[in-house]
Amino acid sequence: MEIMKIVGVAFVTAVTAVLLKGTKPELSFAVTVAGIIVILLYIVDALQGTLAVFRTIAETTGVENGLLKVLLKIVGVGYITEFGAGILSDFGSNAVADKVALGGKIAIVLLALPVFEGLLTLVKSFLQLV
Amino acid sequence: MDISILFKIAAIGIIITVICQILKKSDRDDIATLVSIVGLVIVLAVVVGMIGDLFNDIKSIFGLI
Repeated sequence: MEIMKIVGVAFVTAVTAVLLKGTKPELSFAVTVAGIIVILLYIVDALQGTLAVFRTIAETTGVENGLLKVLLKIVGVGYITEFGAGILSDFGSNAVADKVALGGKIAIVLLALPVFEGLLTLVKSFLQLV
Repeated sequence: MDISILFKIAAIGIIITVICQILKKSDRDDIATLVSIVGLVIVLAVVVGMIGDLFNDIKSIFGLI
């Protein structure tokens, strides 16, 4: 049922944005942002359920908790970067959107660094064994 | 936090447009620009509030400090 709401809100947002674009372009920007936020809130609610399942899986399989936290953070950063870059490119400032996307990528690399270090120490310990 | 916000923003936009047209016709252009700025500020205040709520939700869910 969730997808019906999302598509419905999306169409209403598009129609309202086109309606306002003729007379007040800046207000159509505000309507688009508001519509996207409403859709994202639906998605975040739906996502909350899946995250609980991920946590239980992590506990049962004994995956180290830090790994899951980094994974969640990366998904969150990607989520917000996509939100910003999408709106910016939609309203013509593609250069700014690219910069936001670049910033998001750098943030994700920064978040993933500890995982790389963990991998390196793991490989080193294997080499010691050999 | 539902679709009603979209209709409110659209309604504000239309009202502002009508008021501006009326003011323009009675050649008070300065007041017309003022009214459109006020309308824009109101709508942006609502939207910024929504953005804040969204970011707080995402921060709490994804553990981003």
